[in-house]
Amino acid sequence: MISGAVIWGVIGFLLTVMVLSYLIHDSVFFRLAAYLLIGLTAGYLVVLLVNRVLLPHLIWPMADANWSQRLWLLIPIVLGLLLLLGQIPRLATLSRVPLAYLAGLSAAVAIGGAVFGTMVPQGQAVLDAFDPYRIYAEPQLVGMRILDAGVMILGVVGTLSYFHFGQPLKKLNRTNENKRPRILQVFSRIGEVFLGITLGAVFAGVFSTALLAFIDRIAVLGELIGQFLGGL
Amino acid sequence: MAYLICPECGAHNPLEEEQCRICQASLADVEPVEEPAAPEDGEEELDLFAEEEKDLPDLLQGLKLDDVDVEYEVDPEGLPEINLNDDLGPGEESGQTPEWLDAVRKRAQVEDDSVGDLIKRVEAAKESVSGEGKEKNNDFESWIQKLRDEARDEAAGNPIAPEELSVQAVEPEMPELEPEPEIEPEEEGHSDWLTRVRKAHGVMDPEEGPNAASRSLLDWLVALEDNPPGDQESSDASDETQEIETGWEKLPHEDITRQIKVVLEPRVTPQALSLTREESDHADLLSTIITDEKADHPVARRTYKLGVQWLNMLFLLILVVGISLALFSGGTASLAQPLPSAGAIALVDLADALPEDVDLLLVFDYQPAYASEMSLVAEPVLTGLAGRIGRLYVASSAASGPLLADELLAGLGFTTTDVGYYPMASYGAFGVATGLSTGQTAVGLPEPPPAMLSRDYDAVLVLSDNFEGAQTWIEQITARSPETPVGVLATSQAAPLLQPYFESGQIVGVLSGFSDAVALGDLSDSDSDLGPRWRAYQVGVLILMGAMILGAIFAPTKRSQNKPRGGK
Repeated sequence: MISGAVIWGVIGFLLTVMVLSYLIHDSVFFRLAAYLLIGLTAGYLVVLLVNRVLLPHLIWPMADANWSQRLWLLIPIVLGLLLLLGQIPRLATLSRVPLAYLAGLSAAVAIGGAVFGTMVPQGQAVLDAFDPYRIYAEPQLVGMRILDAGVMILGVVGTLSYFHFGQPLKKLNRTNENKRPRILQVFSRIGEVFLGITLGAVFAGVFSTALLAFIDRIAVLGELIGQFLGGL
Repeated sequence: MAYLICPECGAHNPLEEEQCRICQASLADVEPVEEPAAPEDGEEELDLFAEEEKDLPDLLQGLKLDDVDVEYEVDPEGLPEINLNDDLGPGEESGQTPEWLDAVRKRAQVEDDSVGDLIKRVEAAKESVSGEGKEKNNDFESWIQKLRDEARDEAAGNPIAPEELSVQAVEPEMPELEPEPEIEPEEEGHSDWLTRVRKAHGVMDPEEGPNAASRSLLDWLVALEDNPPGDQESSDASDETQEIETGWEKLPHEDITRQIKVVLEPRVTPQALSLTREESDHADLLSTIITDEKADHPVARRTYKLGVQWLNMLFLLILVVGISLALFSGGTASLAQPLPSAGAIALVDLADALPEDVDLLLVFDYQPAYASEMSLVAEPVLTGLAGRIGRLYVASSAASGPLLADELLAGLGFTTTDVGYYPMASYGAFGVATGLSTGQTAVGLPEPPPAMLSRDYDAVLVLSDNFEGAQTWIEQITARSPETPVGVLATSQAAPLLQPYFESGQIVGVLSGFSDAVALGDLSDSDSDLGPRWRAYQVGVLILMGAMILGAIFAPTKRSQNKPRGGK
């Protein structure tokens, strides 16, 4: 008797081959696999949002809460209904209210996190690299600490210089507006090196992750084939 | 010197003639006319028109200009075209008659019936006018005739000089054609009836009006010369009709009137459209969009070269065979054993340093495609924490997070509490971080799901396959609850950009990628069989490196050589 694992294994094998057929041609098999993935994902998301978001965060509290709490819960309900009205052309403008609320809230959360979670701590880390107490904490590593701090500040300044598109400096240097100041050109060249190293590391990481996923697929399919052959 | 003017064609005939030498009409009842005095010598040469002739109709002035070098071109299609040459000699002999009259004479001598032919053409053109415009023309015609009759009656005692013959150019859209009843009979120094006509039509005197020049028939003739008849023929559909009615009164006591009515087809002057550069750009863009929308958009299909397809197949075959051999060959050989990174060691140290019965929050933020790598990465840490975890809470900011959490943690024997699924990672991270910092919700709000906000987690572990997802959680938690230790378990592609957060101390450790997992497995003497996969991984890396090197050597370089780097 064929078990469920074998059935799902065969389906997985076929889907893997269908996706890999893209290497040869953009065939109907690849598209079928892609459509299957999109359809299943959409259906799964609907079920997930109902079970994990709407029911626990809106419907059940509405049933259990008192009247004052229900008034609070009316706010997301009204916003959700306004968002649905965006599908009606005559009332589409009403959907801008929840969209504006979402955009403003997202921007506030993201900017707050970026400033206090990245910019300030990372700037503080660069300054800490030049802390004498930290540099001389280990006498045998003083040279390495100084070198580390120097490379760090060079990378920071170079990268920021590379992304410097300062209009005010252009205005000051009217005789050659399209050319950045010489010092910025030098540092931007240095920044290019750091950016190249960073992007190379990211590219290697992406390759490594994709290769590991491919190895996992081959391993699973190999085990499946081994089980199938062993069962025979 | 006196002469006779033919009542039919207007030609000048000597006194002794009994019939017009042009049209053979009878001159029996025609009275002789004295020629006006010749202009005095020394008159300003450049002024082609005498002062007393300023109010001559423009058409007559045009004829005067033709006096010197007259070149009449009668358009066979209908309208006369007159070319004016400005080479009038300043001292040219004009005789005793006005120059314009000489022009008429000359024309009458060279043409059989010049005026008659013109009249015929005018009448034919007049008949072509229909509708309201025709009625207006008829009204105006009768009104002009009435004015002439009045002028004739008044001129019974005051003969009108020949040079006082007038022409009034009237546009068809003139609002009022009826003469006003209170027209003054005389005005000194001007043609009386012409003045009345002008007043009746509300047309300013040419010497007074600001638009005198624009009403000049001479200007119209010049414009007509610039625009060939063919252009005018193309404007038949226009409603604008310009009518020039010319009336000649030969003698004060003679009931002879020559009306030259030229019904012109509308002269369509293309309006000068003035566009700014921005408007022109917008117009071009709109035109382009319309054209693009109307164009067919076939589905773009990739074209494949047979050689490339075979090359792809060959590469795939080599990769599959190489990895399969490394996976299933059963050997133990390995090129090199990895060393754990500093972040991985720090994370393991954190796990060892945590007290017993800790409350740990796991955040799942990765896709199913990376489940294999994440399992390899997470197992060493979670296995080390197995004896010390009191309660394990799970939050998800990826759609497949709940399912992946069940799959991963079920195999390790953990029981979990679901904190929730957050479609937007920033909101979930903000909520969890707020709960960590305040420990309570806003007053009046419904109670959140259990363990969402009011838990004091001892540590937070973020499992992420991308830098952005991990960054969101790190930013929110470290900014709002910096005392809570945060560790990250990530894939290889997220690791490089997470290093600054580890170097700065915002996160206590980061374990990333397959190499860290293998290194920790070796250190912990784990019984997990990572050897075959590690070999397959190394073989795969070698094959990919070879493919990239071969591609860099043999790939066509036309693009990099011919096209400049960067944008426009």
